[in-house]
Amino acid sequence: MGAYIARRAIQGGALLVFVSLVSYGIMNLAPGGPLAVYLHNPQVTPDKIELLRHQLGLDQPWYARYLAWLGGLVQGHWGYSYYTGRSVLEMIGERLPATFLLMLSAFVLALSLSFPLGVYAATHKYSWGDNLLSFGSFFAWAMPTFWFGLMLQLTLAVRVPLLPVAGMHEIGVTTLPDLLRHLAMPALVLGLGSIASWSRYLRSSMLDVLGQDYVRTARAKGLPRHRVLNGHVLRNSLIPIVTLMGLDLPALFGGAVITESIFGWPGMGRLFLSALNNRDYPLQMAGLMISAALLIAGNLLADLAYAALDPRIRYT
Amino acid sequence: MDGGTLLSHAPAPASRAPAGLWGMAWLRFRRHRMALVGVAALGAVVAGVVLAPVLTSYSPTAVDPDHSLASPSRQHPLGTDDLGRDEFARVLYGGRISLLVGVTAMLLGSAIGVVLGSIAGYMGGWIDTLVMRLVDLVLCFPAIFLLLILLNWTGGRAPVLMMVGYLGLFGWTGLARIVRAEYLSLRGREFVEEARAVGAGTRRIIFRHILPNAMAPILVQAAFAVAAAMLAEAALDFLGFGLPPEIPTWGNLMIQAETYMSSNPILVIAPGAVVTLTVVAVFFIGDALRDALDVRTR
Repeated sequence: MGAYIARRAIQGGALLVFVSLVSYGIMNLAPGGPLAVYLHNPQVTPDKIELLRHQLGLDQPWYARYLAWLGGLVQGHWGYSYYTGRSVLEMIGERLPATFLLMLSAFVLALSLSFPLGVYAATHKYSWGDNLLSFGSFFAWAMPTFWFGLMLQLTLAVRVPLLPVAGMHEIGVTTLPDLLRHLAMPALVLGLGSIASWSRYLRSSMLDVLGQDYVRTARAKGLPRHRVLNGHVLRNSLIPIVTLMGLDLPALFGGAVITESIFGWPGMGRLFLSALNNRDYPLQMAGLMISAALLIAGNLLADLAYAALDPRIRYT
Repeated sequence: MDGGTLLSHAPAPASRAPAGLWGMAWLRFRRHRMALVGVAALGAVVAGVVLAPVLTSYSPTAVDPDHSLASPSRQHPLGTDDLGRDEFARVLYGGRISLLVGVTAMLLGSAIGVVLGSIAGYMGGWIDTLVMRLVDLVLCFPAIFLLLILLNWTGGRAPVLMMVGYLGLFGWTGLARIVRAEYLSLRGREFVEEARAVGAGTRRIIFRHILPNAMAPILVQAAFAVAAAMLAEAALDFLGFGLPPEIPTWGNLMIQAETYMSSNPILVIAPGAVVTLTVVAVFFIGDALRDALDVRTR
């Protein structure tokens, strides 16, 4: 198991380097570049632009800059933002907690809603409740995320002012209830897709398990219904769901970009969007690397959880 | 038995098929009431989009500052936007772009996925390894972040073409895996050996003999790919990296109306509702197709 994790970690590291090389190349081959904003500014003389170009290292070929960047990354220097001049690591450090809080809330919300819904749907197959849920999940998948967010804002914040429209907290207020009120809509928007897919997968996975011989045996020996469901059925149905959760991790991070823009959430996603608009390469690369790392880590976690839950699966 | 077995003697879908298998698929498809609703809804959307000039006399881009942000009325069924453009016309004409992007991105992604997946599955060996590693690599890229960077880079020139290209380039991996698996199970069948025995070339066997038998999962996947591409395009529009604001698309209509959401909510509700309706319809159709064509659920 240890050797397996080590091998996967090394593979993941190699993949990250590859992803970073391609992304860096694409980014730097783009015309314009970070200095384009100054070209039309009469206050900035060509000399100054040359000086800036030299200071930012933009006068070197992109592969030389890439190697310098990669060397820095390994040593924990993620460079400085072209735009604000501040350390990228510092800027991300300020924003990452908000994004992780949002992702965690969405994850917890999805977990606590999809399980009861999935179990209900599986135990009441083809009832009107089950049909309604399957209808609802199609809608959840079909709605554009940001449209759902705007509709929530319109109904729950504008028409009926129950929740704050946007932001993370009222100015000067740092209480937990205030934070939760601000979290409610963004977390639901970010988690909606997961709620729908996890509950549907749990339903079908439970239906598979319910047909197994060992479930019939458990029932036949007179175990109470809840013990059969919790002990025999649910545990065995979890395996495919856990994989799905691992794969949803990077999706939550990507979805945070949209959710944060709707609700003015001060997280990584909005920082990344402004970095795109400013051609702020070091910041863009940092965002890309974090999401690529999450993608690879999510895959690995899914595989490991798979083995942890199912004794039939052993990695060597 | 899987879909491959069921369809292994079905002729190409385009040729004069005896009622048999595709007819049976249609019978099974018809059993899904929601799928029939989906077909009707999608048909209505497509008809509305195609017949836009008949359904409205307004141009989607004609500015009328005297009648900006008008409420829905007889002249303007959905009101007008901040520049006085008729929202109904913009939803109809905007659908042309949104549907076009969804369908062409699907076609491009499917073409790449089918070609690479079928070659990998049929040839096996190092070609197979190469293609599957390529799939793994593409899946390692955080798609939305890279899409944003690419769109930011190439924004401006031929935006629709670029959008379709990128969505296609990121949207072929799932299909490639499915097609490969299908070819792996089909390549050992008697009809393939028979074709080889009478001297058919590799390309002919891959695309003429096996492909029609692998059509079922491809069709199902294609339906979901259209939906995914349409949603992705709308999301990119919303983030400001999609098609330029002067092109009316369902995504652009929503983002442009966001400011007026509390005074003129219909401007946001209408395009979003049409996207949702279209995508739900496609989902219902895809779901029923999967059942009717007996494709194993993943």
